[in-house]
Amino acid sequence: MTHDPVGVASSVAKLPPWARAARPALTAGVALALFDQALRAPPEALPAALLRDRMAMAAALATGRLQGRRDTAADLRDAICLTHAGDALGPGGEILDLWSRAARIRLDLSGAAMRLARLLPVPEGLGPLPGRGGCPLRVAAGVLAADLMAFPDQESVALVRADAALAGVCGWSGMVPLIGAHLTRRDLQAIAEDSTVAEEKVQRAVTDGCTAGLQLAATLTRRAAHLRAVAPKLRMKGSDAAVDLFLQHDALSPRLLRDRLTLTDRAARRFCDRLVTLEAVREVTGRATSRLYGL
Amino acid sequence: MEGFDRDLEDLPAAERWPIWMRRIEAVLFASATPVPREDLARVVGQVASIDLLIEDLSLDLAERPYEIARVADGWMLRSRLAYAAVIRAAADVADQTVDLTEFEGAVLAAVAYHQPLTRDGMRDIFGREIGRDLIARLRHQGLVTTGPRSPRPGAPHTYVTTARFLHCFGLQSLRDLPDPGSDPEADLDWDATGGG
Repeated sequence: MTHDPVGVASSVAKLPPWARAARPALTAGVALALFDQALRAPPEALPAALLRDRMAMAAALATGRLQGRRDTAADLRDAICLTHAGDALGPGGEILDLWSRAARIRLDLSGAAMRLARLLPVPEGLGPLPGRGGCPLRVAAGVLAADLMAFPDQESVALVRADAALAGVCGWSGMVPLIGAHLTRRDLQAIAEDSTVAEEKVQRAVTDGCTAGLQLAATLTRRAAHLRAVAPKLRMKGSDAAVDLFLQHDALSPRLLRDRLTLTDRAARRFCDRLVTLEAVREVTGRATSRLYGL
Repeated sequence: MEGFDRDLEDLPAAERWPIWMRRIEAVLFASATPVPREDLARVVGQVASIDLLIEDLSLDLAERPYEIARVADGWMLRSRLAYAAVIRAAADVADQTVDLTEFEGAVLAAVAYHQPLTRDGMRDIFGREIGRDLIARLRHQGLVTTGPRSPRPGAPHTYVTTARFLHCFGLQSLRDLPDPGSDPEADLDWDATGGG
C-alpha cells in the first residue's frame, strides 16, 4: 500500500448506506471494522495519540453531563492546560484527566490492567478485563452492565472499562473513547433496569463513536501532514519535539512547551505564533491571555 | 434623618429604582431580625412599592447564596436552603477538626457549588471582597485547595474543594451536594466527624 497520507485522508471512510439501514448489530460491526482499519494507518499518517486525546475530550464532556455538570470543552481544556504542578484540576478537569490518561495506557504491554485500575476512583473490587476473544461489542456490553451494577454511582468506571474491554478484544494498542462519549443518562438507567439492553446501547454508541472517529481520523491525518510539512521551516532547537507534542495532545500551553523543551516564555509563545501563521496549529481559546494551541 | 434624600426626585425614575433596591438590601443585611414594612418605607420614595422593589431585589440575588424571606409583615435576608444545610453543619460541628464561622461556611459552600472559583468570583457571589485570610483558614483545615489558574490576566488561582471536604460533610461526591431549590427535607448525613 503506498504511503500517501493526504490521499488516504481525502477519502474519508464512510459507512455505506446499506450498513446504515441494516440492523444495529450489523451497523455497529461495519462501523467498528472501518474504524479499526483507520486506526491501523501508519503513525507517519495518523496521529493516533492525538485522535485518542480528542476523543477523550468528547467522553469527558459526556461523563460530566451524566454527573450533572455543565462544563464546556473550553472549561475542561483550561482546567488541564492552566493547572500548575501541585494544584488540583477541579472536578471537570479530573474527568478529562481520567479519560486522557486511560486512553494513553498501552494495553499491549504488561501491567496495563493495574495501570488502568489505578486511575479509577474504585481501584479495589474490579473484576479483570477480558482478553481477546469473542465479539467486542458483546464483551464491552458485559463489562458495562456488570460495572454499572457493582458501582452504580461511578459511571466513569464502567464507561472507561467498557471502552478498554472493547479495545482489548479488538487488539488495539490503546483504548479509544467510543462508548463513553455516546451513552446518555437514559441509556444507563435503561441498562440498570434491564442489563440485557446493554448490548444494543453499546452497538449504537460504538456506531456513533466510530462514525465520529473516522471523520476525526481523516481530519487529523490531513492536519498532521501539513504540520510535518512546515516543520523544517521552524528552525528552532527542539521543534521536532514540539511537533511531537502537538501530535499527542488536544491542546498545549506555551508554558508546557517552555518546560518540556527548556525554552523561554517568549520563545515558546513566538513558536506557537509562528505555527499559527503557517496555519499548522490554531489558537483555540480566542483569548488575549492564557492562550492555548492545538492541531 | 437630616439630609437623607428619600425620594431622589432629582434623578430619573430608572436610576432611582436600583438605588432604592440597594437601600433595602443594605437595611436587610444590617438587621439580624425581620425588618417591618414601615422601616423599609422610610428609606425609599413615597411613591415606591416595597413589594415590587423586594421582588426585583429577589431576582437580583438569584446567584447569591442568600435570599429574601418574608416573615410576618417584614422581610429578612436568609441563607438559601441548600447553602444553609452546609453552613449549619459547619457551624454546628462540635468536632475540633472542622471549625468554621457561619460566613466561612458560606464561602466554603460557594466554592463547593461553583468550583473552580476565584476570589473575584466569590466577590461576584457575595457582593464583597473575601479576605485572603479567610481562604487561608479554609485551606489550613484542608477543606479547599488551589485549582487551575484562571485564564484572566494575572492568572489568579481558583479554589476547589478537597476529598477531605467531602469526608467531613458526609458526601460521597459533589453530586451529593443538595440541589439548591430542591426538597428541604433532603436526607443529608451531617455526621461531620472529620478524621480524614
